[in-house]
Amino acid sequence: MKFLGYHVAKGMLVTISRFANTYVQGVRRTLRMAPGSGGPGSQGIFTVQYPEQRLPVPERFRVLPVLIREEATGKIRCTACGICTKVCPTQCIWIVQAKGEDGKTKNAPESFCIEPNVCMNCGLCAEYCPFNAIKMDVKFELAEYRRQEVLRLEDLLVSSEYYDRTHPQATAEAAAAAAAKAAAKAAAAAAPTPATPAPGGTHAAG
Amino acid sequence: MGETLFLDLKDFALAVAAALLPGGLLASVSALISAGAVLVVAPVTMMFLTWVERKGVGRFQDRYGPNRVGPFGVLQPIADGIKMILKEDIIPDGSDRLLHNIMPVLAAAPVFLLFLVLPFGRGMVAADLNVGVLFFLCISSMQSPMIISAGLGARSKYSVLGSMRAVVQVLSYEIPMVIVIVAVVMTAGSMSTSEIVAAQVRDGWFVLTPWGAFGFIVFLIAATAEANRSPFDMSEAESELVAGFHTEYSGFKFALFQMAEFLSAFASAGLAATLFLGGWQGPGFLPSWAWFGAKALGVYFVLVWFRATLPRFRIDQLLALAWKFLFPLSLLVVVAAAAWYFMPLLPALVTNLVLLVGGYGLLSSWILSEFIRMNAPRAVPDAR
Repeated sequence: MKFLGYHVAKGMLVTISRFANTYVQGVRRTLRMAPGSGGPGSQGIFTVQYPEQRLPVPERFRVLPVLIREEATGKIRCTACGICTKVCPTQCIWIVQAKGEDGKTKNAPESFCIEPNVCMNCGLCAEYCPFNAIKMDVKFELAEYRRQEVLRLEDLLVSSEYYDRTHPQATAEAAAAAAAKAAAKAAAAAAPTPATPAPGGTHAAG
Repeated sequence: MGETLFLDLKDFALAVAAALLPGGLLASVSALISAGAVLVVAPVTMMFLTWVERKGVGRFQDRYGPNRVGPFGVLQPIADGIKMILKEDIIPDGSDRLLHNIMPVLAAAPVFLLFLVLPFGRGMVAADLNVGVLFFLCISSMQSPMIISAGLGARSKYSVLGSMRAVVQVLSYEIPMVIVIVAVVMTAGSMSTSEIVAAQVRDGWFVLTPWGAFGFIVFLIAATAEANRSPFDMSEAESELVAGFHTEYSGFKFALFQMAEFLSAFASAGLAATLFLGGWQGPGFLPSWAWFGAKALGVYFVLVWFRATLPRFRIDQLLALAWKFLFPLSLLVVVAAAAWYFMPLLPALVTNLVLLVGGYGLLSSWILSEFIRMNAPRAVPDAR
């Protein structure tokens, strides 16, 4: 036999225990008995006080594309092949290939434009780039006082060192794949038997 | 933290006035000082209450609540007030301009009168009327005509619907509330709020008796409905009526309605503390006015707790709760209070428990079985 108000009383007990638990967990955090930052999955108040506290940004977070410049040589990886412009669903990438003095085309971009207001952050350009030249950045604080202009080559370039820092896992995987390939090559060179295809591939870096 | 801090302040102000003014004016000056204190304290209280509400509901939802303006966000109400004043004041074309403009003021003004009869501490009641409780009830129901006129004047269907719900709700819940207060007035033998507190000094807090405990719960539910607070905020149900009667109001007029709502909720909490929780009395380590404030805030916290827990009623459920449950229960409370007053302790206890627990059980089983029967799946006549 349930009484009128039985479930009301039960629900009120649930909410008051949540209420009390925020203080219990707050005291525990102050006394360093529980992790301090809150965040998803933690007990009590799990608000992260955003500008002061931040949750770590996941490595596969993708916001806007950037172009990678080799830290050691200063060389831009992009060869202006134009694959990214073809796969881009919103058609927001525009590339002009560089030409030498003699009028012959060079494997480098003269200009490289991305319209950030059109880009939908799908990351297909980075998936398809055969030279690992275009990558998705994890920088998400893009608010500006003015409407953003088209991003040009000089806005898009970041050093490979920055990319390795923001994407440690992908860098480590690429390094491991390269090492495995080099080892396979060395083994193939040492042995007289015909070379077998190396495990993994260049694409593992993506 | 002196017991007589505020009384001393008033005496000082009176002494200054006596030195400056002719003697005949002194009684008026004394009344003006008391009323002025209420006028100053009430808006500050309202600001504090909005902060308490937002912080409290935040904690109930595992959030911090406002914490950016000032330490712990205590200055947030001031920021809100500035925002409200700076907002554009929109008067809809089709609205009744007179009603639209004066109703916010008329809705907020009576609420200040409510605080005149609440005893904030020993000897600290601004106007010790011998019909204080009656005065409180009359003034608190004066708010509903203002709400109704505000809604009708807007000529918006949401406003009108909100107003009509407000009429029905206030009419229904005033009745159990008044009947429960009758039990208190019968036992205390007076309608004066300070006399009721004095009776509780003599006999113990009313909430500690069986009839008082039930009466307190009925009063609390009815007061929540009277103050239009969740889960009884039918007249401003934002998911159904945009904002109910104050849909068309913006800026400071909206703020005045908010003020009326918060202050009448707090005044009801204060009346609950006065009628059932012994008013200003308490152990001597705190002054009497601090005890009153603590009790009133405690009752207010229960209202916040209700709001953080319970989803909104449907309008027919709302009326069913008032008429099927609270109304018969409040009648039982009156009978139980009479039994408690006239009988010796043991038979009184037995009579009370039989009346109240038995009545509660019977009402429960009646309402729940009817509810189950009414909502049972029915055989649909075959359309073919």
